[in-house]
Amino acid sequence: MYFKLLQHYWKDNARRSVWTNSIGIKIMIVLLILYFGVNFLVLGIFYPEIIQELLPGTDPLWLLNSVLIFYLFADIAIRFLLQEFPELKIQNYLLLPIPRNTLFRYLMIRSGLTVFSFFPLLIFLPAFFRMAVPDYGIFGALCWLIGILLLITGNTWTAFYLKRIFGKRFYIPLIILGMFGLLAWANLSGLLPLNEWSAFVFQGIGLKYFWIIVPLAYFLLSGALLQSNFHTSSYFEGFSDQPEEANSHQFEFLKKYGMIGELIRMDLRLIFRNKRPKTTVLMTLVFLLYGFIFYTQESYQNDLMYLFWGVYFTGIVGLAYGQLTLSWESSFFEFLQLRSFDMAYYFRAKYVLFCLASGLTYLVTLPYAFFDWEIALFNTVCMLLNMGISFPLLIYFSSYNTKPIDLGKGSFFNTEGSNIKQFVVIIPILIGPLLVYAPFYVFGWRYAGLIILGSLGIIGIVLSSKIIVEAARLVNRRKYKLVEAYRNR
Amino acid sequence: MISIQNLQKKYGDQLVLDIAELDIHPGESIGLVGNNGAGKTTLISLLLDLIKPTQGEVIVNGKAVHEDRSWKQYTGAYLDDNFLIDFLTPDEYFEFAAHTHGWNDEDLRLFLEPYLPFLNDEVVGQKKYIRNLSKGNRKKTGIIASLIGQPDVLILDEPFANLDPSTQIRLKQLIKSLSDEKLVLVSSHDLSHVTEVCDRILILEKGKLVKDVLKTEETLRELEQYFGSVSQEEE
Repeated sequence: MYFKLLQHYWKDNARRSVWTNSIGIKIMIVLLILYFGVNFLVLGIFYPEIIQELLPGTDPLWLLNSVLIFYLFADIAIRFLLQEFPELKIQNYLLLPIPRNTLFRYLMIRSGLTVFSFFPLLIFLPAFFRMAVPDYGIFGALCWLIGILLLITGNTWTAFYLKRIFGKRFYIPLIILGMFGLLAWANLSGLLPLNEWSAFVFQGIGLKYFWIIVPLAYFLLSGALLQSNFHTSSYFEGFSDQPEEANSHQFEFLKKYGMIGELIRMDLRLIFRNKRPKTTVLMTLVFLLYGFIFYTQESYQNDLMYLFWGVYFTGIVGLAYGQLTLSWESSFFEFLQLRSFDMAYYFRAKYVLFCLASGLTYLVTLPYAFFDWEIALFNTVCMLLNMGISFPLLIYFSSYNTKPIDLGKGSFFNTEGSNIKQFVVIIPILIGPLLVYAPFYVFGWRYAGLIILGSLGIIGIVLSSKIIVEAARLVNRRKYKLVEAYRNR
Repeated sequence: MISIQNLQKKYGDQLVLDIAELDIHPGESIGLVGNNGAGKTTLISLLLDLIKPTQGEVIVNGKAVHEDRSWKQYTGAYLDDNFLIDFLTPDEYFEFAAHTHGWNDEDLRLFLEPYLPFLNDEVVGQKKYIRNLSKGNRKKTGIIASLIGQPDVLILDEPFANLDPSTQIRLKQLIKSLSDEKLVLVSSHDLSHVTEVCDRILILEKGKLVKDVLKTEETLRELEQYFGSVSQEEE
């Protein structure tokens, strides 16, 4: 039975729309997976050398064992945030004469089969061969590896359990992260020597074997917990979406601004009431932290990098959300088409929203100027560029977004709605400013280059309403194609 | 008011709709019947300029629908879920539709009042998103929203399907009362509903308009006979 069910799972995945994507998207996905996979693998293989280099005199295996406990904590938080759990996938089977326990165990097996479980193996398998086998002997090393696998699986179930109990409440990951921080602090301050305990247990598994009862107990406990939760809510409703409660008073102030305000309000509701756009936008806010990595390193402190990150930081919400304009609207496009207002209104509202988001991320990332005051200068120019050029371009080309989007799905590795044309627009937006600026940079006329870029942005802002009107015309020309594409959802 | 001449729609080589001539006027309530694949939804989509005719055009009040947008101000329609914005509550959805017609909140409240029995307690004043409503309640929401703006032309695709019996009866009364002055076009598989509310019946078969009759006492029997004989032919 499990085999049959897993076979269905395989078919479900193999027949997903991701694989019907264009060849370009497929290549991108494969490259991305390979990139991360190779990164992890290299880290795993050369881990002992890296540690020798960074912290000479430390036993790399001891160090790995001592931080495992923190890894496991972070793992729960990451899974809670990003992993999609297959709770709804057994609805179709509930009426068939299959024992419920079989279905529950299938769910539990299936929840473990994700990238989140396989990527860590790329680190732990090399560690097993290069460090654990020499140190613990083959039997001890096997116990060690099995112990880690038990913990990873236990984590999957713990995260699944937490998700079933707390649902989509956004503060749960924050609490987990907070606890993580608290434990890290307790460890650093010497209050709770967690890393020593962690090392003690994992070294113990390798050397004395019987310590494997610790991961085994966690594995069994988390499994039992999850299964008991399935049992108490095993009826159909327990495996369907909980009804959400709407709050109609959000963004009430926008009502004052007429039709544009109304449309912005609807766009905000679209973003915050649907999983896919919500995670897309919230993820971009996490990416704003990149500045701490790049602005602080000398090798990146040059004009071209500042320009690139400036466009990125001051445009990210508009770029990430805006590049799928109209695909977001695919589920009610026909309704919009029957409204008597011109699509230009709709685009105008989008444009204002992107500009507001741009201004907001500009302000949020302004403190990066503490690393170098010129960052503020570059970001200002880049904000003008985004408002004047990037956003109008995205809006103009939105009528080529002929791929519908299911708003309710997650955004992690979700390429639904993506097409190669978006890259054709996004890449010039990110690279274009560099190309314009490069000649000035070479001759050392830095400020002249910035003034030119800024002026281009301002000209774009002035002309934006013309471009929006053109974009609306283009939609009117292409609307039959869009209606047809969006109907075949 | 709406006139069609030599309207054709092809998908590839397949001719899915081919209507030589059709004129419909205010005050008429038109029932569009036909089996699956007869072209009902295609015709409605063409009337609403959602798909492009391969040949011919739809003229409303002397202007082609794809050239002049003014018909959108006095046309209401509900085809399917694509007309709903499912992450809004019904109230928010009505509000949005009302604002696009230039109505304020008070206009909307006055408009909705007579329809509250039609909508039940499950639709208005709830904190539920449209995506969490039942099929029937979604349909009610869509139908009422199509009436916002007091349209002169009302087009409904399969409005009776999924509705509970009380609502079906209310909808029939509603359509009858509207069709005194307005143009109502309703497509349906349910012959008895259509003959009850419509005074002109169009039968589509494989894209062709095969019958265009005014309703009489005999119409329901004739329709049943017609579709019965079609099914025998096919066997």
